[in-house]
Amino acid sequence: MSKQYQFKLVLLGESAVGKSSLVLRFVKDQFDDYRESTIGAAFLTQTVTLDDQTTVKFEIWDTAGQERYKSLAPMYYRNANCAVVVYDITQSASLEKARTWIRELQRQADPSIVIALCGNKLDLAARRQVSQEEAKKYADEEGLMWTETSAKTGEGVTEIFTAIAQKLPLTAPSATRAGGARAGPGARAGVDLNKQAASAGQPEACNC
Amino acid sequence: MSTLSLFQDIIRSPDEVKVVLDAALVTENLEDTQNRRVLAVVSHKDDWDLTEEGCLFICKYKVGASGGVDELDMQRVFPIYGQFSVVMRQMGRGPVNLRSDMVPKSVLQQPGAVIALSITPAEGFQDDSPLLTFFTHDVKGLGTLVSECRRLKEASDVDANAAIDLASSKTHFSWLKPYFEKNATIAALTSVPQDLRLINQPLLDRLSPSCAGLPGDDHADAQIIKDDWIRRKARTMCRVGKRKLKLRLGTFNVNGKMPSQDLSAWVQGNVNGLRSTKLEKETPELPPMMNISPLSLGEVISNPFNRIFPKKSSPHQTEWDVNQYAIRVDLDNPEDPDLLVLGFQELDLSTEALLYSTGTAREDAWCLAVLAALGEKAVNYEKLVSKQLVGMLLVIFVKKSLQSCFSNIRTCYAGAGILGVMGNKGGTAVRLTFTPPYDDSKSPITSPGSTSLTFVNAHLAAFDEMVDKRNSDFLDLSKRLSFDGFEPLRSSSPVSDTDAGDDRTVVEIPQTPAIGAPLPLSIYETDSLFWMLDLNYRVDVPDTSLRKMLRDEEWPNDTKIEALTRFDQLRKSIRDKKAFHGFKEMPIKHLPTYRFSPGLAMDAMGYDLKRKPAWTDRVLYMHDPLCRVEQLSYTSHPQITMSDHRPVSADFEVDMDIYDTAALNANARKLLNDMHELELENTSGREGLKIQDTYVDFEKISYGTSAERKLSVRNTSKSPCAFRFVPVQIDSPIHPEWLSVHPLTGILLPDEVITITLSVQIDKDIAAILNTRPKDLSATLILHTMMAKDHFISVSGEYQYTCFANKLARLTRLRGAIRAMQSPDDLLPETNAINAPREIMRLVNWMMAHNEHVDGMFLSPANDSQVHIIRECLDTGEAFPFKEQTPDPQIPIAFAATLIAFLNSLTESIIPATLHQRCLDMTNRDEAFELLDELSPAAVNVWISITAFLHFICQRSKEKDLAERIATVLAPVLLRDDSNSFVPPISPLRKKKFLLYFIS
Repeated sequence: MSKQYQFKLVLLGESAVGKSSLVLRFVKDQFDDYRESTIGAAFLTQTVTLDDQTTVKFEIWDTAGQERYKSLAPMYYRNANCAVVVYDITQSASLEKARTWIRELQRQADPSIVIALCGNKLDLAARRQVSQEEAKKYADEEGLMWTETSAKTGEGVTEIFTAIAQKLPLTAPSATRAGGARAGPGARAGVDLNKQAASAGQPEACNC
Repeated sequence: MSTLSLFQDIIRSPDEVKVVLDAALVTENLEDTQNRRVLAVVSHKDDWDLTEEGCLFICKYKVGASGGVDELDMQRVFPIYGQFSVVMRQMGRGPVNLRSDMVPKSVLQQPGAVIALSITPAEGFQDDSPLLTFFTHDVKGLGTLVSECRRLKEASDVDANAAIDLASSKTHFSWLKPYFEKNATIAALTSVPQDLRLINQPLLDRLSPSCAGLPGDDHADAQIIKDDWIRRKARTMCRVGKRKLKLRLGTFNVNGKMPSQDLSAWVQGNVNGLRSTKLEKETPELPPMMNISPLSLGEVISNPFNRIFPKKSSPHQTEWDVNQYAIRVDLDNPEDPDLLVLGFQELDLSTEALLYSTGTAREDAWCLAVLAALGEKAVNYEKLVSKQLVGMLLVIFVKKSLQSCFSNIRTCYAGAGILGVMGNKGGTAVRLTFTPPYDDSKSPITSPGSTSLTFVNAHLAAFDEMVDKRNSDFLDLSKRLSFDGFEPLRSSSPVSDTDAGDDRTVVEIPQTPAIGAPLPLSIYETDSLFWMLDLNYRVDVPDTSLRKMLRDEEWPNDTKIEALTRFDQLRKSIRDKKAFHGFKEMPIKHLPTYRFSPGLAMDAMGYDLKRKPAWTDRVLYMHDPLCRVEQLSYTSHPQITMSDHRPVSADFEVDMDIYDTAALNANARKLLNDMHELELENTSGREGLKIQDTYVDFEKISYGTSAERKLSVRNTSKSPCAFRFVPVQIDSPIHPEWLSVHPLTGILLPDEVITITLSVQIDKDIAAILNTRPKDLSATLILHTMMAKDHFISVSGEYQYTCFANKLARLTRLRGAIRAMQSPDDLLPETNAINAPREIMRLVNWMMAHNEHVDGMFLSPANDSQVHIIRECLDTGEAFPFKEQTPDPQIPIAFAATLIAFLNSLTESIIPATLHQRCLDMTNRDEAFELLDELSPAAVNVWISITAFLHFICQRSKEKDLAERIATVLAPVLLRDDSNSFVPPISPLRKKKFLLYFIS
């Protein structure tokens, strides 16, 4: 019997690194050259098929990167199962910002959160300011997933979401009906699942 | 209209209708259209877990709001899983006719060409009902139905033997739940009004809890917003006029007495009523009593006009009528109430009355007394309905000319006395609908809409300490008073006494869950609701102080009553949401109506010494926002002395829409269709709304000013979009207290633009909060669009600290001008506090230094802009920009007005409310000065400097009564009442007397 899992994913990162474009590519396989800055947080969903039997449904919160709204970010990463922290490979400052986000997530988000660091705008590699080595080294030190993507060409986009889906602890029971009566976008269902998933995934940590 | 579209009206849009089949019950009587049924298979797909579930609905036709049999009522629902099956077999001998377009009637006419189908319910859905067998002519439809059922049964992942409780299931078939809820269908389309308690809640409170990043049940919320929107919009679209209905309500606990006095003051709204209120004020004397016996009343009623107008007049009076019978027009004054609704309590105190009906002798006597009180106008009225339970009688008289406009009259009762059921306490209720007369040949109305009115007469538990019992009695009556369910049949004949005929349709099939049964109507399911009662709520002020205050002749009645009603138990219960939550009551202007003693044991005002006086007799109401109700009067009638209570009356005007229900339904259906896409699930990430500006700056925000900013929001998508504001955290407010936002929810059609207004108004309460906060005000509002996005709107402003609305103790710790403060905590240490607020001293010193022109100070109105300038100077520390020895006499007046405004804005009274009672005891100047020892040093200094200045100007003035007049103004300011205090307030005249010790 097929199983579906449901996870909450949040995108974080400096303004204009391409968070919304990344999501648009992933969810609708589209790209806009001129996208307005996100003011607020957009909610989207996309399902990833892992194998014949298993699908993972992401509930994605694409947040605003502007500093002005930073205080609201915790509302969106609370109870998130995974976070994609995006930087722009042509802007070294954006990696610094990504590090700040990652430190904040490690300190304040759910301890079991899966964090992926994602260098976007790979199509502009000619103007690269952040080397692959530097980013990868940092990701390894912090135990993060890491990849580079181009929302414009689509390179690496599906791959990173699939990789996250594979890394998430699929020990939780099937998401079927977990949300109870029509819980709308099912955000709360995701929360419950997360808790179960977290406790199921914890034994290794306890052995340390 | 096709069966499919009728059915779609009662289905929630996320659910999909697979097939609809016209059928009929197999019963003895094949010709009866009552047996027509609609069978439909509905599928619900859950995109979240990729499952699909199906149900078979069985619906019956019912009389719709338009009067025709054109609405469907859900009768039963069968989840498709497990044992569920549909079996077909051919009925009769004739060949199967494969035409699928035949209407049910022709099915009935051709019994030879039908197919029967039998339904076997799933586990847990069988009951004792006879075999669920239907016949249909629609062979093709039946084929589809059977195959859909088979498909959905296979798709179901429910354990075949599981018995599912639809009412509590949180997993399987939980999507059916909205259908069980009474108001699940579009509110505007149901003939049953929505519960007033629900409809009066702000829309936002009815939505699911939600906050940033944690949407609630967006589907259900969108549904609620949509329902509300359609309800209002559909009605507005079809309104062709308005009609005012005048009501006069009365409540009277008659203490078992028979009528022995003229009741006209209580019964008659206008002329006599006005005269009697004048009497009441001028003289406590009673008007001459009129002895009326039921025997003599008969003659009053059979007055000559009856012979002239033996017939009921038509509601549509023609001009010809008016001319012919001019005399009649005079009597039938349009200012007279259209309905006279009277509630009596303790009509009969005998023990027998409790046990068995004692006949209608007492009711008849009181009705005659009421008609007699109407005098010559009695001829215009007729008893419409009455309902009695032991001592409680509710009786309604109607203007004969309007009688035919009232229909659907229902009555009910519930006991709440001994053992919780006996009728010594409890309530009786009447519900009726009014269809406004409308005569416009240009746009005739075929199915006029009507407005329902519900009246409750109740009597709750007695005694001071029984508040909780009264509250629970109220909740109990709210639940138990309900009218039998009925179909909207028109009846124009008056309904006499007790239960009207039971129109409940016999439901052949017992209900599995209660779907579509003719549900009993709650008293709240109405357009307007009035309670007239002897509530027995008392006043929480000690007996002696209460009597002393009531007697205090130096204290004007209006402010005295206002002060005392703050301690009224009913007001408190409403405030604490323990009873009558959501009800309105006009402010009371009359003295307590209970308990008057006929004998010796009474106080000077006639109140019984053993019972604390109280406002026990009240009239409360609530109404649908679409049906405006305005109360015009609320008064007691102390000249009617036959009982230990005094009767209370209240005049109302109910403003009703005149509309066509068929047009209403058509509009609602159209709007509903426009809205269909709203709930489509596949809207993930759509860019619905565009907010023109997401950054709003109010710049400088200062005390006493208001500012407004407007945001325009456009729906740029191709589907309707519902929005609501959500808070950042689940338990935080949606916007800060200094800001208001309107509207907080809404719907936009494609390309529609809506303006959201953000406004700021800094009054003293808000200033008191903001003065202790950092001056940078900023907030982020979150506008959530259903299933799509949280939009952020940043709001900012810079608050200008003010010396107004502070505590004295804080003002004395300021380092300098308050505006210069960098942080709200930048204060002197407590030990270094100065003697008195420098702002008050500056005001007093200026006035002292410019004392040549004192005329009008504290008494004449001031120039607002000058007051504003003075306040700014106090806040900034700048010198007052007025020339020394200025000739403008307005300036000293402005200073005095600023001082009063300053004192009124302080978060505490200079002499706290707790000391007011002691001010009463002061008999001379020395004692009064001693009381000042109780004040804080800063308050003493403020008191002394202000009273010294007042003393100075009063001494110097030639006007003898200047001190009196100034004290009248300043006493309530310096001795301010505290609305949160439990201490009973004192008379303003006593306050004045206390102040005069210092200034005269």
